[in-house]
Amino acid sequence: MSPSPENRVEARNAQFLRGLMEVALLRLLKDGPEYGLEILERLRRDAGLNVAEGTIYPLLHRLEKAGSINSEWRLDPAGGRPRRYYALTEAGRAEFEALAAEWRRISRALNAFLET
Amino acid sequence: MDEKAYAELKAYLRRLGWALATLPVRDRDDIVEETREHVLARVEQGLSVRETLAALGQAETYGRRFVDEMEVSGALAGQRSLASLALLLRRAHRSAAAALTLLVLLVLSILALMAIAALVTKPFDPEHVGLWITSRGGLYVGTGDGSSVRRELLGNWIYPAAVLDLAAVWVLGRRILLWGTRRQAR
Repeated sequence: MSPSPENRVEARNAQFLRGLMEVALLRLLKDGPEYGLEILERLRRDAGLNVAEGTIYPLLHRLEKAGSINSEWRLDPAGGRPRRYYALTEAGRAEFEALAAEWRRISRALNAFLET
Repeated sequence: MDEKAYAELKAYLRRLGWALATLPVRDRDDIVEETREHVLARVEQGLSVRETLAALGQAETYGRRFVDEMEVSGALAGQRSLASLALLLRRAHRSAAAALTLLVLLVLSILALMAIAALVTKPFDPEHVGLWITSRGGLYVGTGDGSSVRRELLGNWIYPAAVLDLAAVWVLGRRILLWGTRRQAR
């Protein structure tokens, strides 16, 4: 049985979102270190990405393994709760600049194409 | 948090730990601890444990995502061919890109083996080992007798040709392996 059109759109959106999430996450960490839940909330609120709750931490761990970000456990000053804060590395900063430039190039070209 | 919710969280974290069994202990502990903190923070925001865990997905599926992501970044970060190959073999049944990459690598391996076979055997039997063309236009590397149905094409040029073939297979193989591994990160 082939998937319904809604499921196909959903699957395509998830695939599309994956690449965007990475560039948006690096951009967000350019502002300073953040912990997972705050990153998730800001990606939803500030970047307008409908990020699923279960996707953000695996991505953070992948980027950390790749050396784009690093992390450390800190006590949250407000509630005294330990939180794992993620920060951009120098390599991550360079990666963000390259990804952002590529994204701008593609979006300009695609926008122009879609308008034709 | 009531006792039932606490037990639910504990069971989820235990199952998550099992799903992460292939990762180093430190990574596994960090992920489990971070998940616990995430759930507790959501509960403080007013969500229930059940709602938060449902949003994360089943413990096994959630754990699998970490393993998948970290396998890919591990293979890419170290540019290790064996790690990449192992990753593609594990993914071939559910990723067309992984299956295609393996197929191309298999073809390249056959080409490399043919070149090695020619390099090794040609000095022992220079008359019969070479690149042969049959009367039907088929090409093969191997032994032939120079009869009317087949003709040898390269002679001693087969040595540099085989070395070039090996170099091309190496360069192309590495690129394709990298492409296939990167596709797994998307």
